[in-house]
This record gives sequence, C-alpha cells and structure tokens, in this order.
Amino acid sequence: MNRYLPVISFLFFSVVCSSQNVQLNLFLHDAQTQLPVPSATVIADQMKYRSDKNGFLNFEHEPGEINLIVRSINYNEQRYTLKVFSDTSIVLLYEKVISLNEVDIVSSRISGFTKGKTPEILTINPAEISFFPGLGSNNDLLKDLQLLPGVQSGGEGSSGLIVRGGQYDQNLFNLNGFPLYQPYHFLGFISSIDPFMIQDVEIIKGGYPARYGGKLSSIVNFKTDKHSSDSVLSTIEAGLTIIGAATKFSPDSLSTIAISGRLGTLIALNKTLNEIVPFSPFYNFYDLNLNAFRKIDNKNDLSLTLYYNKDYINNIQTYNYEDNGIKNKDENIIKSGWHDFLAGITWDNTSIDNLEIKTSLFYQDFLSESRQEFHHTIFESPEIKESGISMSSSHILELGFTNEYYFDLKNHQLNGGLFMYGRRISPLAGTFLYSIDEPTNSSTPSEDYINNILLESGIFFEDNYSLNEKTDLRPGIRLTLVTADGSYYFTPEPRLMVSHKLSNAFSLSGSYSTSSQTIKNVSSSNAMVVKDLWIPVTSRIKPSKSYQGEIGFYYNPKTTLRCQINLYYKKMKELSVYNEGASFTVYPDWQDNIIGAHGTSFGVEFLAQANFKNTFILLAYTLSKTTRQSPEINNGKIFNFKYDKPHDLNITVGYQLNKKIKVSCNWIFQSGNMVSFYDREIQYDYISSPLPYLDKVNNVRFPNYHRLDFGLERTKSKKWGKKILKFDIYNSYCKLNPWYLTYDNGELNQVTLFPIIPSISYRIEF
Amino acid sequence: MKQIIHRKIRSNRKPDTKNMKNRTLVSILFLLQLSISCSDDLSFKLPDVEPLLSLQSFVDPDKEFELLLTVANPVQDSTFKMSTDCTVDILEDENTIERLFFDTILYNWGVINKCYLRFLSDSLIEFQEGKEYKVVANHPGFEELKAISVKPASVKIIQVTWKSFVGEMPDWYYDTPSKKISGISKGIDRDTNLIEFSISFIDPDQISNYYRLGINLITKPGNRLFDRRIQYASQSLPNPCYMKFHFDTPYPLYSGWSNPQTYEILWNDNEFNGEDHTIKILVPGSSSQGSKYIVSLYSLNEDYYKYMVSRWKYSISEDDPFAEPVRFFSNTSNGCGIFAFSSLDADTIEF
Repeated sequence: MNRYLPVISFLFFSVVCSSQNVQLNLFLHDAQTQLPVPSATVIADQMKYRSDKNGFLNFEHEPGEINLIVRSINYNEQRYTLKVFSDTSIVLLYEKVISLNEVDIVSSRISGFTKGKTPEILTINPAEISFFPGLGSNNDLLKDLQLLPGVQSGGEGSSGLIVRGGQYDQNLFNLNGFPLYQPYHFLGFISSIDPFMIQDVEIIKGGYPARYGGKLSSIVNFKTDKHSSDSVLSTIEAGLTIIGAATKFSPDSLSTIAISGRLGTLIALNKTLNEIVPFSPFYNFYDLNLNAFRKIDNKNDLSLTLYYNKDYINNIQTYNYEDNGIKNKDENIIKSGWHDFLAGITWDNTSIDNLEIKTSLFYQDFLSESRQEFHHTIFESPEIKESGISMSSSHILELGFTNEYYFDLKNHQLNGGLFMYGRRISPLAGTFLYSIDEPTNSSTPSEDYINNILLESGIFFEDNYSLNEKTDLRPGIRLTLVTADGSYYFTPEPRLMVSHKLSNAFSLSGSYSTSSQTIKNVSSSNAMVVKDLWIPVTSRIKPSKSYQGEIGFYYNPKTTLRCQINLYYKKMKELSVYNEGASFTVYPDWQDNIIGAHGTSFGVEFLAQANFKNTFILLAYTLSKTTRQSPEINNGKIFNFKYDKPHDLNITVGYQLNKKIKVSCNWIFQSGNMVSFYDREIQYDYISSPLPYLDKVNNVRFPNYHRLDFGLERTKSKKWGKKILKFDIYNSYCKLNPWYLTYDNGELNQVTLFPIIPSISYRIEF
Repeated sequence: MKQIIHRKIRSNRKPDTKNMKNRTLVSILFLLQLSISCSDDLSFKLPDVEPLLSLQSFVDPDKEFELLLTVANPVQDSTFKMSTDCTVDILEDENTIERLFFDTILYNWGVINKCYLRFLSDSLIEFQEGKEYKVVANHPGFEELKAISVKPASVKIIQVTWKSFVGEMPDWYYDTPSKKISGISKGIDRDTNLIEFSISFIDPDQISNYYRLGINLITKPGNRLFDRRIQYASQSLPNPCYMKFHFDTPYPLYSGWSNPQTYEILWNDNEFNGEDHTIKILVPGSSSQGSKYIVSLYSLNEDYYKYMVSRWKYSISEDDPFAEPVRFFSNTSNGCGIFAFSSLDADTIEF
C-alpha cells in the first residue's frame, strides 16, 4: 500500500487539478458603438452559449487555450483565441458587417426621433441631431424635444416644456431615473444637461408606464451611457454663451466614468457690458455632471450620478443726488438665481434568472429665488432709511428611495416596486417694507407656514403582456399615499396601454392613464410679471390629478418615411392657480393667494419624418385647445389657459452637404400666449378715477410667434479626433416676438428678448 | 531656387491671412451679437374691442334709488360719450312698473359727468322681498342691456347689547378713509373711549346669506342735528372682506361736506348657516348727551356680495403691479355691471 500511495496521490491530485476549471466572463460589445450585442452565439469547444441583453455570458472551461467562435446577425463571424489560467473577465469588441456603400448610408442617415420599445415613447440620440440650429450654437436637448407635436415652449427662447396643455412643472425630468426640478439655465433659455453625457433621451406624453408618477404631463428620461470602452472620449467646446469640457473613460473593462463641466461665457462679457451699458446685470451660470458605473460582478452593477446646476444674476444701481441741499441715495438691487444639486446611487441586481432588481437612493437640493430691493437713504441727522424688498423663493430638499422589480416570463414582462420620498418645501413670497430697519407692513411671513414637510410613498405594478404576435397590452396600477400638513391623500392611478399591428407598416395604439402631482409650480397670468412659486400640497391644497385618453395611428414601413397621428383628451383637476387680485403684499401666507382650478386640453398631433440618404425632414403640427375653470376666477366661467396655443407648427430640415458639412434649418410657428390685461375703463362717478375693466381672464393673445433658425456644422477629422465648427443664426428674419408687456405713461410696450442672433461655437473631440 | 522661394513665401502668407480672416470674422460676429442681442421695446397694440354698455345700481332701502348707466370704453379709445336718447325700465314679473327718468341736472354739471347717465325714480317704487325684478336699458348703438335680481328677505336683529371701555382701535382702523380725512393718526387716538356692540341675529337655514353692517351716529349738540355714517372696526383686520361705502345722510358732520367713505364689513354665513350668530364691532364712544347709534343690518343678495368681493380684491391690490388682475362680477347680459338688492333691519341704541 505504501508503495502505491505516491502514485495514487499523484493521480488523485492530477484529477483534482485537472477538474479545477476557470470561470470565464465575456462581455460582447459592438466595436463601433460600444453597445452590448445581445443574443449572440458563442461556441467554445463544441459547447454553445448565448449572450444576454447586456451582451454578457459566462461559462467554465479548463485552463489553457480557449478557441471561441462568435456569431450574430449583422455581424461577421469572428474567432478569438484566449489563453486563460484563472478566473477572467474579458470584453470582446465585435465588428459589424460593413461595406463601403453601407458606410455612406449609415453615416448620412439621420434617425431623428425614433419610436421606443412601445408606441408612446419617442427617443432621440443627441449625437445624431447635434447639428440642428440652437440658441448660441448650443445643442439643447430640451429644445430638440420642442420640435415634436404636442410639446411647446412656453415663452421666447424658453427650454421649458408645455406638453398637451400642461405647465412647466408638470414634466418629470429623470436623469438616470432621478427626478430633476429645473433642468434649465439662463432664465430657462438653455437646458443644463450636457448632451455629451447623454446616450439618448426619451419622452412619453401619454400612456405612462406605472413605474412613473408624480407629474401630470410628460416623462422625459435622460439616460447616460454606461458601457465601457478601451478609448477615452473627450470634448472641449467654446461658444458665445457656453464653454465646457467633458471626458468619458473606462479605468478598466468593468467601469466607466464620465465628467462634464460647463460655464456661461457671459462672465467674460459682464465687465465689458457694464462699460457699454451702465448697470447692466451681472449674470452667469454653470453646470457639473458626473456619472460613474461599475460592474461589481456578473450579477451586480452600481452607478453613481452627480449633478449640479447654478444660475445667478446680480445688479446694483446707485444714484446719489441732493434734494433741497440734503444728500440722498437710492439703491436698486436685484439678486436672483437658482441651483439644483442631485446625488443618486443605483444598484442593479440580477441574481435570480429573469429577475432584475433595481434599488435607488437619491438626495436633491433645489432653490429658486428672485429678490428685488429698493433702499432710499436721506443723509440728515438722524439718518432716515426706507426700504422695500420684494421677493419670491422656493426651496426644496428631497430624499428618495425606490425599489423596482423586472420579471421576464414567456409572454409577460412584470414590473413592480415601491417608492418613498421625503421633502421639505419652503415657498416664500411677499413685499416687505421697512423704515429705519423696522418693518412697517404686515407682510412679514410667519415661519410656521414657510417650511412644509411632505411624505409621499406608494407601490406600482404593471404587466407588459403580448396577447399574440400583433397585440400587446400593458395594464398597470400605481397607488400613492401622501401625508402633508396633518392631511392624508390616497390616489389610485390606473393605467392601460394597448397596441395592435394592423400590418407590417400600420399599427394602432390606445391608452388611458391617470396621474397625480403633489408639488406644483404656480405661475402668474399678469402680463407684466414673471412670478413663479413651487408649492406643496397641504390641508388646504389638494394633489392635482390628470386623466388622459389617447389614440394613435402609426405608419412605419421601415423605409424613408414615418408618420403618426395622435388624438388626445386630458382632464386635469385640483390645479393650483393664483386667485384674482392675489397679492403677496396683502396676503403674506402664500396659501391665501392660491385656489383650485380644473383644466381641459384636447387636440390632434401630426408627426411626419423622412430620412433620405443625405436629407432629414421633420414636420410636426398640433391643433389643440386648452382651458381652465375655477369658481373664484372669471366668475366661474371657463377661460383660456395662459399657454393655450391652438396652432403649433415645426418644420425641420437637415442636409448633409458632404462628409464634412451639415446644414439645417428650423421654422417654428405658434399661436401667441394668453395674458390678462385691463382693456376697458368704466367711469361711474365724478369722484373716482375710471375703474379698469377685465371682460375675461386671459383676454389678450400675444401676436403669433414665429422664427426661422439656420445652422451649419463643419467637421474636420484628424488623426487625434475631430474639430467641429458650428455656426447658427437664431431668428434669421428678426421677428420681434413679445416676451412680456410694460405699461408706462399710458403707453403699452412689448419687450422682445431675442432679435436675430448669430452665434458660433467650436468643439474638439478626441 | 526662385520658384522654391516663391512657393515658400506663398505658403507662409496663407496661414497668416487665413488666421486674420478667421479672427476678423469671429470679432464681427461677436460685436454683431453684442450690439443686437438686447431687448427692444415696441409699442403693443391691444386687440380692438367694442365698448360695453354698463350699469350700476345698488338698491338699498335707506338710500334714494339710482341707476348709473355708462360704457366700458376701450383703453385705447376712451372718447365715447353717452347719448341722452336712452331709456331704462324696471320690470316686475315681466311687466314694466316704471320708466326711470334721466337726471339732467347732474349731467349738465361738467364734462366728466357726460361719461355716465344717472337715472332716478320718481314714483318711490316699493320693492318687495322675495320678488324678482328686471332692469332693461336701451342705448343707441348697443344691444338691450338686461339684469335680473331678487330682493332678499331681511334678517331681523334679535338683540343689540353694548359695553363701553377704554381701549385701542385696531391698526387698520387708522388707515380707513374717514380717519385719514379727520387727520387723526395712529398713536394719538389711543386709549380712547370705545363702545363694543354685539349684534345678534338668527341666520336663516338652508339658504346662503350675506350681510353688511352700517353704523350711524346721531348727535344733537345744541339744536343742530348731525347724522353721520361712522367708521367702525372689528378687533382685527376683517376677514372675509370689507368694502368702501359712500353713504350720504342729509345731516353730515361738516356743513357743505359729504360724509367720508367708510369701510363696512361684509360677511357670508358659511360658518354659521342656520345658527344664532353675534357680530361684535367697536365704535368710538360719544360723550355728547342724547346721542344715539343706529345699527343697520343689511341682507345682501348673492350678486351684491360677489360684486363687492371683486371690487374689494381690486382695491386692496391695485397699487401692486405684480398682483393678479381682477374681473369684476357682473350679473348683466349684453354688457357688464351690477344690479343688486339689499334688505334692512335696524335698531337704535340711545344713550
């Protein structure tokens, strides 16, 4: 026995050693786009494996040389030889099938807006439409969305979205699943999301999936790219309004980091502007984005999102003069601006087959403040100082947690989860008068009604069910419970989406969805003021609700032309609006100025998109009507909504002149906004001044808004990267569209913000 | 050699020229944007609107009936003048009970008076509680203006009690027109003799009721009678609202003057519908022997109340340019304005 022991031991250990296989984790990525290649077949030593939706597969193998054959539709068959002696993770770059001719087509065909997985979703790829004209030659994702039917801009140059009769605050902006309150800069003229960071943007105007909630009008999802790449992609941009830099790199095959920072260039101009135009306001903005993604192992991902945007405007005007020999000083101070800070972390887990669990935690700090001060000082003994401060401020602190489950069955994709949000919302507005630093009016607000705590939680469930090859159903329910100010609000939100393929080219869809909103932004209908305030629900103010039905017809023959027509009808309840005569001077408690209203919006939207070899044409038209009604406004009669724009037409044409130059133009036509203005006077007696008379609220429509923008982008490819020069002309024929009205010495004037504005920007990518 | 030199010179010149051109272009664009990218004021023309025929008539039992007919003129063209060739009729149950007569005396007083027409009644119509009345006005160039209103039932004062003390009027009292005219400012009229009146009544059940309160002080120093509407106050800023009222008595305090306007509180019965209710108000105490207070409890119809609320919203916010615009309540058709009734119950308290 002892003689044979070494032999037995050797054989035993040989067997043991030889049976210690290595674990091989493979990530299959497209060599050009870095996107995962799903459902590819990988053959290793006669064994076949299949990559999942993330392009991932794993298997065990004997250590040593491994020969792999990779096959997939539209891809070349590729062979790899690997030498592996321990557990290894590898990213394989997979070349697509290409030919010279196809390269030409792919490089010049601009996809524009594409349909998402379900018909209610429209998606854009920022990189593809970066050459569209923009204000200040900036590629603005939110302005690109305004090219769609049913999506309008509320005012001159604004990036804010008015979707199907809604308001700015009724759009849920998600950055990697985390909500943002105000993704704008520059008084709302530029979006604060850097397109470099964004892989695609999708918008949902109706038929909302149950996992989304909290807003009435639309969902806009900004998704960043998480895929790793061997190369480092960077860009530096300088234009007349923004300068910025961004980079994206993968420290290893399992991680990706993207950082972006942008700064307004007005800071460089402010000093010059002040010398040319005394007392011009000092204005600037900046934004910072950071996204980090890490694949912990084959079943766990972690991603981090950091976002910060800030705007500020300051202006101080001082006048010194003498009055009857006594020195006087008048000071006008303007301080306004906002910031939005977001930090969020998401953990993705796929431990169980066909089940994905996504857990997210985020924190947000949003502040918007507008403050105007006037100080009058008389330099005598004792010194007399009178001051007036007019301000409005909205501060929101938010902590949120969500836990979502995605379960794939044969014909069902089940989606469920829970959410919890805690918010502290502090609205404040008023005019505060002081004499020798002592308050002289009763407008000073009490601390008690400034800070409002709001807790919102709930669950949701939906089922994406394929009834058959042609018909899909998506029933869903979202249940929300809100506690605020000692009150409870429970809102069930049923949702249903049905889509049916009539033929290869035609399809039909219908949807019904309800939604609720607990944080609202109230805007003024006064023609001469911009006064917005974010407010929470309280015991006196109920959550807003919307009920929307939609039918859509789609023509998508997979050739160059796509069309769709959508009809929608939306009812909104418990909207919050300013009461007639609302004045923070008289009612410092903001709740006393707010009343409930209902709204109705209906319309038809038409979208046609043509993608030819070098040309892209987009035509979007909306015919709609939006009204509001409140028992305490307009004598309880229905009145036009401020953003009721019966006609909205966008025509966009993009043309690739050659490999280096792309040109585009964009013509926008919209009906004007509605405002309230006293247009009559009544003289009832000889004592009083004439009484102003308003026949109905929102009685004056601004003139039709229209403008034509041109854009030209010239790209020069170098060995190290690309140089991109962009030249735009905003409002080429200088239509003086009104922004707001002023009334001075009996004369009514319109203020126009943007006449013709040529601009240029320069970008390098490497 | 020469060729080479020539080529070299040419190749050296090109980048400089090109850079100069680029810089010039950028500078021009930059200056262009600076010079033209600024806000610009244009005159804004309001859409043309037609004038609207308007009437105002508050039918209170303790006032002479009058109806003012005027026109809501477009702000851009306020030159419209009323024509005296118009008629105003009062109807009860669709039967005309009176054609009002036009007050030519007032009309001839001055230019501004030609902006409105005042109509009076010469038959001392007795409007009955619970009855519906219609006013129909015809003016050349306008459609027939109509308004319908119901005279509400009066609500009886059950009891008025009072107590006198030394105290302070609330701050808002000193901002009222009557105090401003009298020149009495805060800090001087403090710790003064006050009377607190408690006015009790039973609010009718199952209907909405609206109230206003008026106080007259009648004094007779010597042999001269003075009857003046006085400003009262509640302990704090009135809520709901109050309204400026101009109330003429034949015996104002100051000879040759009319009574100053007072702020009179309006109530709705949302919080005490169908219940006994007491309103407490403060008035300055009178030391004049034989003085008496007349407490008048007005029951307003709903149109009266709604109009006054809209006028009040405007009056408190008219100096704030950031306030929301106000639309005055109207119960007319083919025009605008108000035709509204009140009923009255009064009680006298003598000292």
